[in-house]
Amino acid sequence: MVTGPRWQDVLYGRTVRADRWWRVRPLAPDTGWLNAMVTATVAGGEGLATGPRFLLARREDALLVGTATQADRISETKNSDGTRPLYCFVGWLSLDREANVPELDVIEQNWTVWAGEVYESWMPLDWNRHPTALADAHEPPLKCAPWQELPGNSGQPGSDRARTWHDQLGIREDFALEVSSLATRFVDSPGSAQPVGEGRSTPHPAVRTVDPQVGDEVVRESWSLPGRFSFGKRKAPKEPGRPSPAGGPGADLSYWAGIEHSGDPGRRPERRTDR
Amino acid sequence: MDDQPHITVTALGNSGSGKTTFLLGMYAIMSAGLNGYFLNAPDQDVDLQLAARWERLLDDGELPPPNPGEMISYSFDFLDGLQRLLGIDWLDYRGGALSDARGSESEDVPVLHERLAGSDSVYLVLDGSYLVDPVRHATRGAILRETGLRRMTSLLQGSVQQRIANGAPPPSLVVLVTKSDLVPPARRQRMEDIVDDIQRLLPICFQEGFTTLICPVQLGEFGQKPPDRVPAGLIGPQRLHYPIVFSLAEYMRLLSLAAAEAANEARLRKREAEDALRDLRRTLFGRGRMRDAEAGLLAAQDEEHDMNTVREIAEGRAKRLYEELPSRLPMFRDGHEVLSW
Repeated sequence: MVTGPRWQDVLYGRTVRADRWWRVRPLAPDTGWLNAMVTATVAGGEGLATGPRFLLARREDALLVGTATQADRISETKNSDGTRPLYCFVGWLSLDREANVPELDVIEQNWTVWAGEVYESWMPLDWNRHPTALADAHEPPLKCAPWQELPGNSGQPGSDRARTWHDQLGIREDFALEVSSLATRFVDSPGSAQPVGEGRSTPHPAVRTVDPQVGDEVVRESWSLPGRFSFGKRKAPKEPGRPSPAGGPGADLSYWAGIEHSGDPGRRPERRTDR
Repeated sequence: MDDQPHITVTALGNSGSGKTTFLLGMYAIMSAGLNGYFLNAPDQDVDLQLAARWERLLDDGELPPPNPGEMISYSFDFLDGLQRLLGIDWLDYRGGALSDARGSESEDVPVLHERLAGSDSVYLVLDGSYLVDPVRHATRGAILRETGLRRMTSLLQGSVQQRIANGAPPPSLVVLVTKSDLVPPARRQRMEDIVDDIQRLLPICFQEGFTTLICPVQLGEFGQKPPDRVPAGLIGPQRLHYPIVFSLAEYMRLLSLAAAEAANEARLRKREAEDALRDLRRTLFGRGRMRDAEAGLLAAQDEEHDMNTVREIAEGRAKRLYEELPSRLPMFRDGHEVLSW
């Protein structure tokens, strides 16, 4: 078992005064990856009212584990912007390839305490600060993980998602696994600006692995047949809307002239009739 | 059609001003159709997600959570019946991006700035709770700061300069007064009072070159201090669809003006070609030049005809779209109130 201070806190959550989200961000080798993992797990706060989402992700030597949650589950006082409940991501990042992560069952039993300690140790520093004073995120020191003192992993995981989590613990290749505690939703691929798809109406245990290479996503889903996986690719995430060079409607004249030539009448059928 | 024209709409508003709720309500109304006009998200996952969030609000009173530090881009089709008229690009983002510097840690800030310069229509979102009392000299500064209106004005100035440099017209503007149920009924019913306040707060909207609609919108009647979950029984959205109708009407109006100008230029070219032909017919030589002049004349005639047709159709569409707007919503062009399109 690897011991010693090998982990850094991660905290992504806004304050009561400032609409800025990174509170504590380690200087990871790839901050874009860290950003994508956290925002994909948070997913705009969608669905967090029903339960937290857990993330386990690896990229080269970096290992990230954490939870997206409504803030009121881990803080009694710093959980609202005055009108809306707040949500956040609390996690731990290690750049040690051999760093260990507990089983999902252990995390599920302890996460509110562990995440609450991180949240309450960092958030008060910023909570009431003026927005202009929150220029950069805090850089956290190395520390021991909160699970360091627990006995080593033992026993068999009880659920499909816990088994999948267990399997990923031994994998040294890049991956990202998100587990939803109530398992009712999917999150789009990391770095995607697309909103969360919630098209499925039936509850299902959702376990996904995500290829952290920005772009494609390899999905292992267990919602249809527990214990079996289907593989597939999703379309590449769409860039946030970047408008074409400005030109105004005058730039579209040739298009509209072409439409006119193609026989578009441009006139609507009468929809209203006088009585 | 891939090269289908589209308009880019950007709502500028502070955190909590109601940008996301407005988007959800506007989409819910327009996707169901309004007098034959429809808004549709071609990506069905997006359609379901927007609908689900709106239904949670209607059924459980659950307001949308604050946006995190990532941007959500939406593409919609605006349809007249079954006919796709325009694509609409919409961006939802955290309101805090407005006040962040370009070089800040958040990646959404430069995207927002770039997008603003390419926006055909800009909505300046003002929380109605700031219009409970008339805006006075003593309160103006605090309101400008707390609502982000000062920052919005600055951003708008910068983006308009960029558009002018690119040869594009200034964007149409909507002053979107959200949570207008917070404005006392006596003031709400007299739109003159609201207009006076907005002229004090956002003088840029009344400058030459801008067409501005003032549109109070509301989700329901929730009182001064709405809870996290609003009572579902009090939800009654009002006027959420008018801003997008206005944006599209303005696009069509500007298209008709551009087409009229193009038709006029074609008519001038046609006259030049006719004069040239007349001169050439008086000479014995220059058959080649005469063929060129005849071809130029035909091209100018065709273009004049095409542009006149585009103008006529665009004018008709603009007129019909403007007719969808209630006359009591104040609209200003070049600083003067206009009563019809």
